[in-house]
Amino acid sequence: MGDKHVDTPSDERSLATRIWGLLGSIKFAVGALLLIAAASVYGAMTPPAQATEKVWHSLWYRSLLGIILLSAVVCTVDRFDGVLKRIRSPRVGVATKVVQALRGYKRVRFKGTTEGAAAALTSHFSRARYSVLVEDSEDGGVSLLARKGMSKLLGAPIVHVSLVVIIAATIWGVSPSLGSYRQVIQIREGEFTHERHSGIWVGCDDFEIVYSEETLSEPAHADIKTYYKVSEYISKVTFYEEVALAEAERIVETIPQTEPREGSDWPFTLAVEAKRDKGGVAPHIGGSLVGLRATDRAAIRVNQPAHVQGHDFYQQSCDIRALRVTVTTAKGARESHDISLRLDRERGVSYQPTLVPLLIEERGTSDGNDETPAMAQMPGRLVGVTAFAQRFEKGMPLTAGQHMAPSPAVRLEEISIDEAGQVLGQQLGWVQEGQAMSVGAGRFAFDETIYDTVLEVRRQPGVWLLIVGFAISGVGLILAFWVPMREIRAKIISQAGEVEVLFGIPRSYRGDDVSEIVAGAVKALRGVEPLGGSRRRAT
Amino acid sequence: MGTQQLEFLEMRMYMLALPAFVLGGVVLLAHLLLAGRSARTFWVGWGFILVGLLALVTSLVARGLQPATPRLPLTTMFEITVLVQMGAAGTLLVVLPRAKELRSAGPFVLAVVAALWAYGYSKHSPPEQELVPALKSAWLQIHVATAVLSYGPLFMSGVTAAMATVMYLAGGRYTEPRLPAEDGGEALPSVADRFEEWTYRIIAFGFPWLTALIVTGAIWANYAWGRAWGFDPKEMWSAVTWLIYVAYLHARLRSGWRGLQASALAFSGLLAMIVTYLLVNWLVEVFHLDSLHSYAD
Repeated sequence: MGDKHVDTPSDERSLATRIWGLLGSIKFAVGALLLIAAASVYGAMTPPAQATEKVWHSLWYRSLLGIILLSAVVCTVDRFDGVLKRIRSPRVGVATKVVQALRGYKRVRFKGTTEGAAAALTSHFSRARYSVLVEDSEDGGVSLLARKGMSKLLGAPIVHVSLVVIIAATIWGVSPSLGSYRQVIQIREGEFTHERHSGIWVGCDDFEIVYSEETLSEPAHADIKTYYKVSEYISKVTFYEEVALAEAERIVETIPQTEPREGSDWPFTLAVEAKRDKGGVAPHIGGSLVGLRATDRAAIRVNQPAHVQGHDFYQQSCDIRALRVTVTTAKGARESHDISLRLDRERGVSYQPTLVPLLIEERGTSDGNDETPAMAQMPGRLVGVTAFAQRFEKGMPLTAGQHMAPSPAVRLEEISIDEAGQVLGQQLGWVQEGQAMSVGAGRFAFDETIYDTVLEVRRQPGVWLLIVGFAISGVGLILAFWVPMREIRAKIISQAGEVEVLFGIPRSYRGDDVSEIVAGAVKALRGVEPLGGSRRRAT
Repeated sequence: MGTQQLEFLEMRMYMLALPAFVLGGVVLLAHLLLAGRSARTFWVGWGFILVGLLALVTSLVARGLQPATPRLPLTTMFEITVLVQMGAAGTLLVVLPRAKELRSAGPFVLAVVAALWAYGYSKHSPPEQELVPALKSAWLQIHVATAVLSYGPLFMSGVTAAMATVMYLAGGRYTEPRLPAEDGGEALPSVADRFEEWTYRIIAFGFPWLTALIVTGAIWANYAWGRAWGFDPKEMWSAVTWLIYVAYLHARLRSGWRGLQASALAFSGLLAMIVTYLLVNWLVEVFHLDSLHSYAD
């Protein structure tokens, strides 16, 4: 019968020990760090849309990060006992040959006593803020260990602990199951949004873009020396809570197509100010009435988010969505309209208004003899906005370039129908924001540009822990790199009325101050008459 | 002082910095090769570097006073390049008096500073009157200050690492332990070893600031964009730089890596830093990447 190999518990421990040893190995850590650096280069050079899936959120990249983190933990756990022992209970009494093997070894001889030499050295190092430990050695003589800056040894473990804290905070911050949340909401000026996750209602009272004038370093034309760039985006918002209609400060009506429906994941509901008629407040567009009470107000800017009920609201972007115009007809009827805009990327990212016929002169006010039969069917003289320019000056719209101050304008056209029934437009001219144009007996005014503000809502429960992790890492780095650590060993041996003092510095120390430290200690042996000594070439 | 006068002062001081640095390098070379390493010639060279540094400081101050609302000039590529020159020159001023054996690195570091000067000159533009919204934050000053304190020293450490690498590869007298001044004394490390040692010391100063640079950037990003880390190319390359230096420090401190390997790894950290600081925006354009870090251009 042959021997049957059986896995014994000792084999399993051996494998576990080997893995533990590998993870705790600095060489392994160095290799892993360089590997993830190379992987990060690959990810950084990959287009973002692919990089997220192929690299940053991939299993292999996250596994690499996890291995490095595990390695840091194992390194720390493995070595922490040794670090603590070295700080709290260092080995003081050592054999003479140990001191002789240290770098910077120096031997001096004096007339005097062991006690006198020990006292002089202790006093010298204590004045230089070293902590001094003195102990009798087994092979005779007195061993002295002077140390300072030993907290340096705690630097690396503290930094490793901070990595664990930072990773934990990151995981907490990106895990919906642990309370983190992220959503983008869009609100038109004067309208309201209900962000469903937080339950918060947000009303955009006003949105403003502030421009600043800058000097062009390379003007395209001699007369164009400045350009205008965005200096600030400001969303003035009010936060509300839902209350009963009877207690409400404001009543809004939801926009039906944005209401939550079964199976829909539409994340927010839009609403407008509810209209009042003779009977009071009533739905006007088929939505539901909601009562709101203000709880907070904020002016949200980039770098100045609002913090409300555990959620942060960041200014993300904005868009021009509509143009508010007011038409006053010949008979004095006055009505405001919001003309929506759409982005036409084919025409170089320009905004195109929706053509909405606006009655400016009622039928009978000024009928023309050249009116077509088709036009006779119309309620009166109609105008429409057919173009929009963000920058308009000297009678000309600018479709490109930023070297004129933002000054929105709309092009007004009169809408008519020919005998064939085709809609025609006759340009009446440009109307700048805040100005008006008379059309016959009526009046068209371009009141303002209506913006949508886009806010990002975030709930980040782990941010405070992230800051704590950063602070811990700062402490660890300062200890590890900026605290000077010094250890000096001295062996004092009494020999026939003379004292021989051996000095040595552990190899890990560097620097020119090694010999200075020892020289200072030798000088400290005052009153002990030097007889001579030697310095051994360090190996 | 009016705006035109401030513009004049800004450019004149910037133009003064280059000849000051060049003269500093020339005098240091003379100190090393011709003047028997006399203290006087060293301090003359050191003085020229100081003049160059002060000229850069004056240039930046004049630039910062030009906008209608004076502010620290910390945003354009020109301004950042001036700050990095200041960091490298400042590191030289601190290190060279302490490390006599490192003085031969001085002319090379100044050559790098001169190259940065030329790059900054090519990127010069009038100071912006107003910052873009994302830059309007107190974190801008903190983040850029840590950049100066890290990039400046790390640039110098990259030069010393490169020199050490060349010395180790060349061998010969550069890698032989030096005889002590006295008989029976301790042998002194070789020239290459001293360069490698000082490379470590400078990195040990600059690395915590590099970490602070990344941390402050993350905190600022959270305020500005609602996320501390977005895997932006600039962010990732700064992480790559950090990882290389972490690997270097671990290898040197624990694994007993010294000499050629350590120097080569330290030099690769400088290369990554150059990509992060200078080349990322170009890479973004060439490889059609997205980056939010384009304000400095």
